[in-house]
Amino acid sequence: MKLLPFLLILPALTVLLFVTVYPIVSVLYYSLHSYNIITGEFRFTGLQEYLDLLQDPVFQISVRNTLIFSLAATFLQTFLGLSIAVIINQEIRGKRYLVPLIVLPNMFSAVIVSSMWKLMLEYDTGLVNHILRALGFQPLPWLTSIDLALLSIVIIDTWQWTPICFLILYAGLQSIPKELYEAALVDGAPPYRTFLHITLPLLKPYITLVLLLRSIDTFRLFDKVYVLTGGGPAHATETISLYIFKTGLVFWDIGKASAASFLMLILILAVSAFYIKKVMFE
Amino acid sequence: MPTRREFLKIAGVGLGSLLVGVGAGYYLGSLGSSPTTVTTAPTTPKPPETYSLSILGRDAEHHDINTAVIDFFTRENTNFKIEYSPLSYASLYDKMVLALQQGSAAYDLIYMDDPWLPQFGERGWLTDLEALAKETGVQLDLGDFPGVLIDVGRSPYKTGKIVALPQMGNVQIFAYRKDVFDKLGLPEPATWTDVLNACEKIKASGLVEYPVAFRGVKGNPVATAFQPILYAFGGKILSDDLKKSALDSKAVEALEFLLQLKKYAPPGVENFNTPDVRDRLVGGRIAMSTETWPGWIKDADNPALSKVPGLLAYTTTPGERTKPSPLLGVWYWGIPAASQNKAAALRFILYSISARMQKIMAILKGLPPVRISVGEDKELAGLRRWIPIQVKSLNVAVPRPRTPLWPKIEDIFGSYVNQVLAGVIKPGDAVSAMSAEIDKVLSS
Repeated sequence: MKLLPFLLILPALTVLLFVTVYPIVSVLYYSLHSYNIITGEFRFTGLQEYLDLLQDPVFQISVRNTLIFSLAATFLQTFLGLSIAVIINQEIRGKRYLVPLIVLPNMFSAVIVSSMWKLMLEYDTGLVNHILRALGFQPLPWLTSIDLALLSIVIIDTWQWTPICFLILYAGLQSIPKELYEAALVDGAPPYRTFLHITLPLLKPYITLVLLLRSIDTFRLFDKVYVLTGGGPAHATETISLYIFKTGLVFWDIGKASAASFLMLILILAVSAFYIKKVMFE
Repeated sequence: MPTRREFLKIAGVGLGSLLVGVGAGYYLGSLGSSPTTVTTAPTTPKPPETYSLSILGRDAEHHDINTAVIDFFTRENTNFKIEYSPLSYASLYDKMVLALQQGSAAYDLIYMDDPWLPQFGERGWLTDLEALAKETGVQLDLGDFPGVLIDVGRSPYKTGKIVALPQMGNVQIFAYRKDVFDKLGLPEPATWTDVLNACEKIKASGLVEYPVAFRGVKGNPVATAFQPILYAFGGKILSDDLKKSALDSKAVEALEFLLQLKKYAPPGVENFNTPDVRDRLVGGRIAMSTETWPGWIKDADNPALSKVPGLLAYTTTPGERTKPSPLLGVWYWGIPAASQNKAAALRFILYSISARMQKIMAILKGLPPVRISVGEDKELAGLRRWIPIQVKSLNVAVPRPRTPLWPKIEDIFGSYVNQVLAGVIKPGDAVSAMSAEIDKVLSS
């Protein structure tokens, strides 16, 4: 009878081994080899691929860009999601129509969103610059300027993913007992103190969850960059995922791509460890 | 109302009559048909052997053309069944490499971009088509193709066995607005300096929104767009033995020229890809496109799809210090070494690249032909004005350096050219940096 629980989880464990553990071990194995499908080279090189990678300036730029993007997008989306959730949580008219509208951007695939925004951000004919001109401002090279390209992708990602942050935080707000707010009102607490001392502490697990989910997802940024800028101009929007894609599936340098993938996994774990600890152990 | 007994009687008589009728009919029918059956059975021809081919190919206009060829072929060869799997450029390359590397027999025919051939050929992933033709008693007629196309289809380049045959004659040509040039009294550009002079005059005239555009986005697009300029300035990317970088002061000069050209291009040209240039060209918003692919202009004379019907003129990409050197982008048919239907696959290839089918596809679908005779066809030149220039360009075209490491080298090259365009690095520094990186790749 003692073995029964283990037998019951065995099927799930087997699937997990095949879809998670095996690929990770496999990537680690290949990362210790110089393996190129096109040239046919396959030999053990130890940590050489990792050392080459860390000295590669394009990889360094892609790590920097990924970190900047991940931090900026995660915090912006969480902040906006929280702001919208707090507003929608008030007694406002037409709430039932507003919520589906807010969630709408997340219904589209990343490629469609990127293609749509590419048209809107086009310098000459794009809607955004058209509005800027109508308001008397100079048009901006949203996707072609080294200074603006990454910011533009942060904006697009925020447009698409803020709704999910909103939904999670809105659900969190709905779970806070109304009595607490009534008690605060009776005690004469001003709204900002109610927010700081009741809403935020009780919403903390939800905020942590949103931060965790968004930081993991933004770290894997690929499709938007691929469609919008291809990693350019110069290397202004190069990300780790794009680097791995090109190294592995364009140059077929499987050893180097595996090393980059493993480093990316370590980076994601490092970034998310903090949140995971908060969510699971506190 | 009949009783139960009467009903059973009627039913029994009816059923009996039916059985008698059917039996008599069968007997009489068999009497009449028996002699025919006896005489025809031994003379019935043996049904032809049926073939089932599976093709891995490109989507977009390639899909349109190739499925039309398949349609013609299967109507004329009813014992063939062909399945075409279309994929986007990157997905096609990925799937092809994996299928070939694993020795998969899932595909009998593959449709390849010419830069992939050194990789596939060197690894022995493709069938020797000359040997196959000999084995199956087929004569390969290669005299009607520009020599460079056959050279590129060999592995190793120029000297090896033929592993691929050309299907779509993509090559860079130069497109310009004839009406604008005529109004300003400008000659057809023969050199890149002519192009720059024309830019200045067109800008001053204000006749068109921007004088020129080209693809500037990082990687393959800008690398491809810049190569005819580099070669015309006498520059080279790799040495002849493909062992080291050959980028020198001529490359610096060519990059400085590109920056001059950028002044006359729309803002953000460093992020321009195919749709950005193509749509501006057929939308009448630019006067020149430094590199134009036949697929971009196949409908340029159709008023329903173009704002400049009849207004574009075409010539070979300009020269400068040396002769014009447009870049080749030809698509080839090949047969995987693991295919189980090689003879049938070769039969389809020869049908697809025949002069008759090339002409039909050029008329119906705007296929850039690969045969000289089709390029010289007067009827075709009247229908597709760009075809004579396209076939002329094929004769002077330069293939991308024939090394399996080209994708990596092209990425380095395209990345630095893009950085020069974006103003991040000076041409001289870019050439030094890319040379060092290319040498590192070639020596590893």
